[in-house]
Amino acid sequence: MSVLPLPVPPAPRARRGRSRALRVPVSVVISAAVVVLFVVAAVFPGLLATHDPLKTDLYATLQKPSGSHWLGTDDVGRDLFSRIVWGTRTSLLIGLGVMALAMVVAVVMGLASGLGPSWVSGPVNRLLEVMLAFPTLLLALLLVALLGPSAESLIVSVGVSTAPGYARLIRAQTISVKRSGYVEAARALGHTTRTVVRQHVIPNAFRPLVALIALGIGTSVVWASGLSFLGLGVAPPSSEWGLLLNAGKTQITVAWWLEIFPGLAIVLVTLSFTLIGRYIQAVVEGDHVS
Amino acid sequence: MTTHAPSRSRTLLIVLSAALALVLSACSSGGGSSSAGDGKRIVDQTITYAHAQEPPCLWGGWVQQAYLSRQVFDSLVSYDDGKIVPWLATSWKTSEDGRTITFTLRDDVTFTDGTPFNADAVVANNANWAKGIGWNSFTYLTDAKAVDDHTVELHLSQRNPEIFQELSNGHYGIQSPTALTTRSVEDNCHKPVGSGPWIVKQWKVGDGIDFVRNDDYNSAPANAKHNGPAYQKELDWKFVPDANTRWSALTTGQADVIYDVPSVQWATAQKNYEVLNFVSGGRPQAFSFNVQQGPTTDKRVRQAFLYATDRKKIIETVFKGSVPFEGNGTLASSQPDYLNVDSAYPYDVEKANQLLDEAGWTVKNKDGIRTKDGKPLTIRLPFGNGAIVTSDGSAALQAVQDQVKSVGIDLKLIPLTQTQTFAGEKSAPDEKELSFGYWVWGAPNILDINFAAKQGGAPNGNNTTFFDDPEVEQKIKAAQVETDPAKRTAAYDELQQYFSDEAIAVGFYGMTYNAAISPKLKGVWQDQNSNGLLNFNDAYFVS
Repeated sequence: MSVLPLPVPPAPRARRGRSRALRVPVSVVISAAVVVLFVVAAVFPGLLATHDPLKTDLYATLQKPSGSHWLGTDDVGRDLFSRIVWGTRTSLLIGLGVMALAMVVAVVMGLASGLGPSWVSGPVNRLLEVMLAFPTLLLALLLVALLGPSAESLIVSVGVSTAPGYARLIRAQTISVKRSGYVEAARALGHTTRTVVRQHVIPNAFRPLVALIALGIGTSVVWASGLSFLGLGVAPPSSEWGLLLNAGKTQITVAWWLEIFPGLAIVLVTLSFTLIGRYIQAVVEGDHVS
Repeated sequence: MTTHAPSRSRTLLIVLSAALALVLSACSSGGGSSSAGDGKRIVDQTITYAHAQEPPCLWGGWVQQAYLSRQVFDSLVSYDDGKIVPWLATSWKTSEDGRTITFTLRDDVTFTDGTPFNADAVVANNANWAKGIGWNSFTYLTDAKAVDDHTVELHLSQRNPEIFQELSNGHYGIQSPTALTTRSVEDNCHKPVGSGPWIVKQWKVGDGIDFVRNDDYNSAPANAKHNGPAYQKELDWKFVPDANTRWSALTTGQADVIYDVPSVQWATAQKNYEVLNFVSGGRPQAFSFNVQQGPTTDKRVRQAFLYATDRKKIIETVFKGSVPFEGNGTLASSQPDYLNVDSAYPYDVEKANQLLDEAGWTVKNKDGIRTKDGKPLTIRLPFGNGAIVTSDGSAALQAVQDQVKSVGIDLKLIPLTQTQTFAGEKSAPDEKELSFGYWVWGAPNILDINFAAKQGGAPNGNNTTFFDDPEVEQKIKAAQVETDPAKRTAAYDELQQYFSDEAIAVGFYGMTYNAAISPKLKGVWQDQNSNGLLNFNDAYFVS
């Protein structure tokens, strides 16, 4: 006699927001606009840049912000505004790359430790604990020292260093969902493990990650810029923002703009992604207050 | 609001306070003071010096180690304005064949661990140099022999007229033979024992070194300003890698002397502080083209690279006068046999384009880079970022990168960390077309170090051009054993002209060692030998 599985009531998606329409806060709207602006700068830098970012002008070095150079020039006469615009692509790509790598590593490790058999979850858990014992920056520094300074090294080192934190979160969510009533119900009704994992565990366990990814991109930009600032990032003459900060630091007493504006770009992007991430988090968790 | 006229007792209090302040200020100036030509000389204080780079050991083959060695060790001889003057050796003579030098040593010098300085100490140190200084073989020193207690012979594998200049640089300090044999490598690395003016009290790795005065010091070189213990009690040697932080330390009075003034502050430093600036001996910061493989084996490509670059203007702009342009890539301007070739390869984009066309790099790709047989004209330049090339130097290289791009050369800058640099990464002939760096050395035989194809039978790792021409190498070897000054100069002139004309090694800027000194500190001086080492033994504060 075969038993036909009965339809299972849909797993409770994360609590929906209150019934009334959500009003998006002004700060989130502004953040979204900033992100869009930077994305445009990253995809079409030529649209915004006013000069060739690599063109030196030895007769116009360390010029203050002016009509001809909106954010001034550096010590070899390159236009800072154009360099920041062109640097957006590298900086954002590094941020996205870091998050992508971190997520891949985290998902694999998180699912393995949350759903795998004990001979898999045990060693993975121990590995996660060992990795978490190292402060993120220290681990990233170690990896970038081993790999040598480059954009790829930055992505790998920061991605791998931040992955354990996300993996632990995925593991916790997975275990929590795995033990939920609707998963038990699905199992009781004869759904295969594969179906249960695909239809119930993964969608519910991963929902909070959407917000984390948005938050993580901003954080990754800061980590990567920090390493570039230390001279462990991309090679000159790239205008990655951390590298711009590094190059400007020796001139800071006479050319404040070389530090302030790249710093502002990093702050703006990080802040925007963070605000958007928090907003998404609030929406997903259903406790958004309009 | 009410005001009160000072009462008699209050007036008395103010007078007493002022008197007390005067007494206290006198006390705070330490153990003593005496009159100096430029004010009251204040002694027994602490000199705070902010240096840039921290080496792993206090002595060794790196110039940054020589800076430290000079504080703790004395040397056999000293170099003063083109002359060799006595130090631990009072006199010396060279054998007919130039391969044996006999030094007569002082008999009244003691190392700070109580070991007497004598011929055996020199013999022990000669063995230690061979072990601890990677390029020691280029001095041609072999062994040493104690003739009697205070006479020692140094033997050389070949004549080396520059041996005295080499022995007078900071790397060839004399350490206590007792310490060398009885203490651990670690102790001798961080707290070596010498007979010099300062003793290492503590090396706080990552922070600095505390030196205390050697109160028994009596062996200053003949060109020192005084013989005897240092005027100040302590020397606080800080490692401050960031140039702006060093500058701030000087301007706020936290440091009395700083090394390597940021170029943006150079004009201010010259106006408000005493400034020392020394172009090191050896080889300046220079471009060394790979002549063994790749596109730079073609002389026209090398010359085009140079014509496409306004090297002089770049250096003037980036370094703001703190560092001189240098066109000679083989010898530094402070070398006696230096040849000025600054006028070679003036900025001439048209000429650069013409040379590249002649060399067959005629087609340009969509990025404007010239190609030949489908391959782009890419020149890879790995460089020691920070360790060998400062941030200003890096900016200068980026200006070069932009300028050569205008003639269709893709210069790829590959910054290396200090660890990568000293581990020899990207140093193989198939990993780069161009090298950039300097070599501090006391004599023109730097040419042998940098252009000899082999060293001890193996490929010479110091030969960054991978130059291999037995005929030229023979000329180099002949020049360095030439004793007739006129013939020697002519031989070196010919060699320098050759390397410039062939565009194998071409200069960019002089490797300078500068320092800014607070107006309240006098008497700091810079050794005029290859390293421009700082001497604090004669330094005193003025009121």
